[in-house]
Amino acid sequence: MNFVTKTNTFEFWDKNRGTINTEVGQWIGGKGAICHGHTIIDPDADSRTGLLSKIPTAVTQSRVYLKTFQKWDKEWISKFSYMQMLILSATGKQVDKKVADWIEGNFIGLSYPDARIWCNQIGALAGTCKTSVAAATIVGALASDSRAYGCQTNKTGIEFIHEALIAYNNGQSIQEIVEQPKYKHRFNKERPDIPGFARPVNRQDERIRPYEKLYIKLGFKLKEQKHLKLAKAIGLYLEENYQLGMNSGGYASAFLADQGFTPDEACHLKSLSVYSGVMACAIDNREKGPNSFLPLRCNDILYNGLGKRDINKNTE
Amino acid sequence: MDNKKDFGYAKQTTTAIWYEEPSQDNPYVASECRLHGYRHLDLCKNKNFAEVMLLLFTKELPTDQQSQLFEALMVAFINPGPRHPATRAAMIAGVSKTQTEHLLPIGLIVLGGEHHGSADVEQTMLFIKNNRHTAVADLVKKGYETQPPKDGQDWLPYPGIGSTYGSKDPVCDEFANYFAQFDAVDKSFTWLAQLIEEIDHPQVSWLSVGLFSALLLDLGIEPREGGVIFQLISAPGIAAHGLEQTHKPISSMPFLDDQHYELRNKNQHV
Repeated sequence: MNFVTKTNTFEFWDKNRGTINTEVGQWIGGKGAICHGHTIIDPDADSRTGLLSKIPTAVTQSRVYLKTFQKWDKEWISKFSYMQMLILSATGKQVDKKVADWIEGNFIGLSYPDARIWCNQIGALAGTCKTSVAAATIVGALASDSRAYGCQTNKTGIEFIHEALIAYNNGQSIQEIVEQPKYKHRFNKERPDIPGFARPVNRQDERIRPYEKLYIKLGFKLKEQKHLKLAKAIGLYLEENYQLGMNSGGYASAFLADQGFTPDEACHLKSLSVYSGVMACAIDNREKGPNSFLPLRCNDILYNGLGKRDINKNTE
Repeated sequence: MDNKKDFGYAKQTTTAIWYEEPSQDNPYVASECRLHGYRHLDLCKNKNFAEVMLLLFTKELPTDQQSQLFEALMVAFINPGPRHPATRAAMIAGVSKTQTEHLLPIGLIVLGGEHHGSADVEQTMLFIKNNRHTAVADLVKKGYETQPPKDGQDWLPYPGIGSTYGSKDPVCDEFANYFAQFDAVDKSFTWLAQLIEEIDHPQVSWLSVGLFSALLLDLGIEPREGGVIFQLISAPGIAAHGLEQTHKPISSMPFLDDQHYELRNKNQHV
């Protein structure tokens, strides 16, 4: 078997050299822009407007005209929300406004301007250094790219609920799903450690109630949402047996799974979900003077390292 | 309702790296600082940057041999070059008049990636650490079987080794030959060199992250630290390239025209 490939075969790289090949979108300078096949700003709008200007005013007031105009008006900039645009960019999927609206509510739930929260504290520290607001916001959002909280937990959350639903449909009980050895806590084997069903600070998640309210207001029906239905049942079991409950990430993961998002897609679209709270904390600390945010005395940092050493004894 | 109890959060932050002796008249000001037990000023007087950097990450000052190797490694990896995506990101930021202080973080965040970046270094170091006691012949067989090379694509049989744009990287090979002569070079470098030799493929050799990873392991650095040290050492080159562009007009780097921008449908393959 010959494992040697052709040398000096640069076709792949030459094809991409000096050219951008993409399926995502394009800015057509001076005319418009396209994203995932959708028109953000219609590049042909000028010619259409020209055509329409020839139509008598009486006609333009008619229902026929309005219908035609609506048919031609495919511009996202006037028809869709920013959240729908963000989801389109992150996943290539056009979602109903109500899906985007729920996700927007979820973003609000992740936007507390409390500088104790890790990502916000990073924003506040950047603020106290008078780092630019853009930089402070982006480093806080970057910090939330974490295994413990933030967008990554939606990835693990959807992976869990996908797997749990398959197991449940195959006849496993909620107890059997939850009590699997792989979901045992790393240090405390007595309790489960399931993505989306714990919280590192508070046991009860106050966001579940407003998420639920928004969910109902937008017209979602639980009976059609298999992942969320199961997530709620798991949350109930954990509450009754371990004083653990479903958290914001668990609810969002189940919701996103029901809307057909993959674990990666969910993680991507939530990448910057915390930035609003981070920004608030950064701005709050910009004008308070150097070292004003949680100043530390020398002794506030506990040193537990090696004792005093003399460098001259180590120097040959 | 206070349900914040019993989560085990510490009352104080701890560190084993740096000690600050508070001054007698102001608890916020240090009268003396110590790094892993050594007086900071003494380190400044007696040690070079490379030695103190190794002290920071390994808790001990290096031997002369280790120090020489690390110094050379820092020079070897000081600049990923203007074609590396991380450097290009800093250059584009520079030419497009991004605030100067953001140039380096932009480049270093790009350099955090799994391809030719710090995540790549961490993975490669883990791979070497977990396999360096395995016979290379067994790994080679597995590499050929599980992901055989394909025409026109880079073959990366294992982390840290493979082809670059379809061939060996001659600069990287030259550096590897140079580093092989250092006294502090040890089993990680030797093992990866053996793996490359055993693979015996005309297009496969050292990748820069592989060379960096093997040398860092031989210096006693752990994988998680290694990825970040890769960012630190690459920082000067990224910063210099980014800054160079800030002195030029925005038009001094290419902006592709429409003829060189191809929007394809999802199902259309090039």
